[in-house]
Amino acid sequence: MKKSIRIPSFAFPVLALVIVASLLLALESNLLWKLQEANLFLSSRVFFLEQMAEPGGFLSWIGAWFTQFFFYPWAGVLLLCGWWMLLMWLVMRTFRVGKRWMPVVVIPVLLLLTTVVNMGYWVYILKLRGHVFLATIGTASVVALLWAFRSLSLRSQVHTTLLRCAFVLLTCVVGYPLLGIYGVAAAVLMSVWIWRLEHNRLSALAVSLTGLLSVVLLPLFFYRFVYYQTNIADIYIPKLPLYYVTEAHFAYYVPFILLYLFFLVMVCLLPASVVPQQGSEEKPRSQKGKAAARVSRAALRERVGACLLLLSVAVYTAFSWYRDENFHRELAMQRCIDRLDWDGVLSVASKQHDEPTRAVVMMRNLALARLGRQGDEMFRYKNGCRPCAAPFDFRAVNTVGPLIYYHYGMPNYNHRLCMECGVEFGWHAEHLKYMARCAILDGDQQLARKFLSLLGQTLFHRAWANRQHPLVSNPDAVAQAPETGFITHLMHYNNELTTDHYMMEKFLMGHLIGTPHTTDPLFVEQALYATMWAKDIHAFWTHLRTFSRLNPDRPWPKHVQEAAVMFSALQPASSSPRLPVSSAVIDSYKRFDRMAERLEGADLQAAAAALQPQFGNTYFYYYYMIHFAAQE
Amino acid sequence: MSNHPSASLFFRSLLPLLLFTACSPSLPKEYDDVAAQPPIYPDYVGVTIPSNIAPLTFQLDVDADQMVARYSAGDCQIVCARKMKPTLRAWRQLIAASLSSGSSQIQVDVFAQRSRQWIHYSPFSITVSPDSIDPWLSFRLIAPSYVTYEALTINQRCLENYSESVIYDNMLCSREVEGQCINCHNYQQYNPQRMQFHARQHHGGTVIAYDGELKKVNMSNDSIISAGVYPAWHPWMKLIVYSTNHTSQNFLTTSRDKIEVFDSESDLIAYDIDSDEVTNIENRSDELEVFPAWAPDGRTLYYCSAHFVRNPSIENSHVDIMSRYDSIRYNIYSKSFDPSTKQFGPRRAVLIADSLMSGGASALLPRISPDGRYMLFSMAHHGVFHIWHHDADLWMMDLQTQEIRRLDEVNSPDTESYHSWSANGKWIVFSSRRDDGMFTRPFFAHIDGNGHFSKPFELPCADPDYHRQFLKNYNIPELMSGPVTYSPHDFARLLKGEGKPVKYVRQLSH
Repeated sequence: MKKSIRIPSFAFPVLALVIVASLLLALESNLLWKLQEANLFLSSRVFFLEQMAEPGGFLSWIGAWFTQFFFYPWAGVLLLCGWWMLLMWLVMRTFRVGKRWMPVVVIPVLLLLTTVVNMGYWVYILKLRGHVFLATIGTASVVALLWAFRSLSLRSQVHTTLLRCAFVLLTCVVGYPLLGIYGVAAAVLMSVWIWRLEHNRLSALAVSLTGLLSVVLLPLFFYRFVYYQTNIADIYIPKLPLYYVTEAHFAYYVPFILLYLFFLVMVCLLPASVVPQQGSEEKPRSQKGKAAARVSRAALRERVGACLLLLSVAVYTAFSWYRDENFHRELAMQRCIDRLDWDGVLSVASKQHDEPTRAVVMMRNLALARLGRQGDEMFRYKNGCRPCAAPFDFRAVNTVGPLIYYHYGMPNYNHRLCMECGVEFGWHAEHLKYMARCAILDGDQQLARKFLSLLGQTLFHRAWANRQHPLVSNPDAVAQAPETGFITHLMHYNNELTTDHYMMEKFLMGHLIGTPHTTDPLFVEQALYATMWAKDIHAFWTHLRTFSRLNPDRPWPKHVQEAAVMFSALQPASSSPRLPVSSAVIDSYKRFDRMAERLEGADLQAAAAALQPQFGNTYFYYYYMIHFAAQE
Repeated sequence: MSNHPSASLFFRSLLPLLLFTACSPSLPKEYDDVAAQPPIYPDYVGVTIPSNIAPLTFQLDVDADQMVARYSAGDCQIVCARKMKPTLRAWRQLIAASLSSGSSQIQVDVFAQRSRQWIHYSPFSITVSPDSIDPWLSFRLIAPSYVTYEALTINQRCLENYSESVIYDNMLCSREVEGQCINCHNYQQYNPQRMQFHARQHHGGTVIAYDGELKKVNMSNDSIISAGVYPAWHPWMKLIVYSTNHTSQNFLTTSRDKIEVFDSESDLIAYDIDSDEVTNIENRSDELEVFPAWAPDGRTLYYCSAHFVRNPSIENSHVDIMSRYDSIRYNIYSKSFDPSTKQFGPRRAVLIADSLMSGGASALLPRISPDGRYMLFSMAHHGVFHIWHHDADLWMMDLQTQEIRRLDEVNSPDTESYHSWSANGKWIVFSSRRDDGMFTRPFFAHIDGNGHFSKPFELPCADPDYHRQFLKNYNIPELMSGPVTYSPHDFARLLKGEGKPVKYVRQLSH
């Protein structure tokens, strides 16, 4: 006898969750890591009170606590999936979703997933602490409140109505300060749902009016008497992410709107459509004849409908998923640099397909410098200056400014950027770490201790902070440490009153070139490469002379030889027969020169395409063919 | 407490027990004495405090398994573990016991436990002065950022306890690109009902509150170089003197002073609150005038000015200033003022700082003591914005003898800048970055009859660690006789409206 296998009704959502978690970990582990770097949770009363100074602050506080776990992306995903599982279960129970409609419980999860994977460059500047978990926990709270609301029942109609009114009012009174917009949303949904739950129109009207008046008036009350940090324009939407730089970016609000519409549809249509009719779900096979066939066809239609609904949301999520290569390479490189994994940075760089952003190029060059291979390899990788694919003006200084300034020995500018960003977008663990590092480099012991002490209150950056403490009052240790040793060699810039105008690379290279420091070989080497970057022939010879004097036994790096040969040819007066340049480089330049001569008059792009296969990895090619029109 | 002698005796005999149990832990019985002062934060070792100050809380500033500390005065004592956090009631009783004991001292014992071994640091004293301090302090809370500011508040804190509230929050009028900066809160003679502050950019204007009336003034006018900036409210007249400034800032590549803020132009103006008239009182093209301050008699105006002759070969004044930023130094001058005619006299040199010491110095923010005897000011190597200068110190001039001295008993190796006197002239409050070199905290010091200050103490907080966790500066600490009672929404409503324009006149009408 054939034994039927009974699949649990929740199997489909669980399977969907496994797929979502796998995708998140496989495709976005660097984004998740960055999310926690751009987050801060301090286990202190001061931090808690700072969060509570805004409506919905509690949700932010909780969200920030959970976001920490993305330090290990798998741990964060596990927790996030736990919340999503709870959310799906709550949706199922609250709206009594039947088996054939089960796919729809995955829809809120997909929409919440969309709010994470569509972020792109917003990850650097989103002004909402704990955004990822905040939206999920907020949504789960709304559904839990709806469930509680539905369950309210007393013996008399009047008492039940009063209880429901009180509950809606309480949802707003308590929910608004704790959950922000999610408290308001719950009250609105209750005000709508009551018309489905309650047959007595008068009772429904009473509850509905209580809810709607609470929703309108209570935020105004809180605005007037409790919260001073919220603009009146935002009092009904606290803890909704603000996708605004110089203008609002509506597309990012779509998942939130869809999420709200989903629940609105659920409370408007339920219990009519989603809840199975008595017996139709459980025993379709026991039905006989045409009636049974009708039920079966209806069930099939509902199943197909639910699946199509889910599929359309999944397609939307897939299309909203931010897949820009440079964005992901930048994150991967930052994560490698955080671990001082310089080979890892180069490994990421070697997989580059698109034209890179300057952030990618600068991090790659930094890795090459750290490995002592910059002069031989910096033109072997893809070069370029593709603008960030962000819907707003965003530059290398915004993505990796603090990192680059720090590693290039300019703690003042790193500190400034971290401070500005911390004030503008809220403090990130990353800011505090860099400011601690800079204070250590500057010998500001008390300031370093302050930042390290704050980081000591975090769950996962505490260990890092503890490792930094021995460096605080020990410049020798700083000079020897794997991370800071190299940096101390670069801290020889002239002190000038100036500004970078947010053109980080140009500013740094200009300062390297313009600083007449002549004793530190590492600094001079970087200054030499800066002259090559700037195509400054005069400065090149000046710094090359110093480089040769400080490195008498070291062969010139390949790209330096290329520059020397080419500049000698361009300025014969500067040429010297004693240039220690290999014959291979000289031959290469001659071939390049002949080919370039042949291409004279050709379109620049065509010439570049023709020269690239043979000479794309030379300084000659960079000098003539790479022009940073939209640099940084 | 009852005035009946026997009742008083009864309660006084119970008091030690009550207070002892208030914090509950007991002192260790066995310990080793250590001949060193306890490393505590905030550093309250040997400070002098006003009798009405909030309880001083502190914590041990070195690693220890446990700390127990005791405050004692007369037959009163308070013992706390982990952190010294007396209750307000117990503290008041301790202060009273200290003042009635004759010595006016609070004895402090600190015990620390490491590896199950208790040590007892050298006891120290806190002197309680019978001179009280104005009960409220207002300040702007701002992160030590450079260009961005986001959320700013002007707050007020009761010095007699820990209660703090917002006077105005810029987020009530700010939203993303429509940001609003607020600054320069100022009061007439410590009176919280007579205050002013500026809002810049979105819904900008100067807010003036006077005995319950609020008005927003649009001080921009073609005849003056900017709206009013640094204010000085006349001691009794409805008249405010402002500097007008074109201020910029740039960044230093490697210096420990990370930023330089400078004026490329600045003048002085006077504004009449009733008539909304405004007039220039100093506008020399080769001088940069700033930071006006009234003498308490209302007949002398002090201010700072730097002599700066533009280089005609440099077209951009901004670039010109930047190229010589570290040689711009401010002196202190004064002008007489006739309250009956509202006329100012010619300038007189009070302190020519640019020729002081080797290479000169820059003296800013003159503040005259309420008795007119002393002028407190801050001085550093150069510049107009000493809060960003690590070498900035407080100095004082005896206006009777013209002698100046650096206040070594008050200064620290780091920045000391914005300062003001208490109404009774017995205390000063000033900003200092001595804790960490970055975040400004208010400190208070007592001045005796000979012009000497006691060791300053940091604003006490309910949690002694609060300032170490707090990532904002206390900017412009100003003492007040009471709290500001206008609500933040009163100010927001006012700011959202139009500002009343000023009328430029050659001479204020009288």
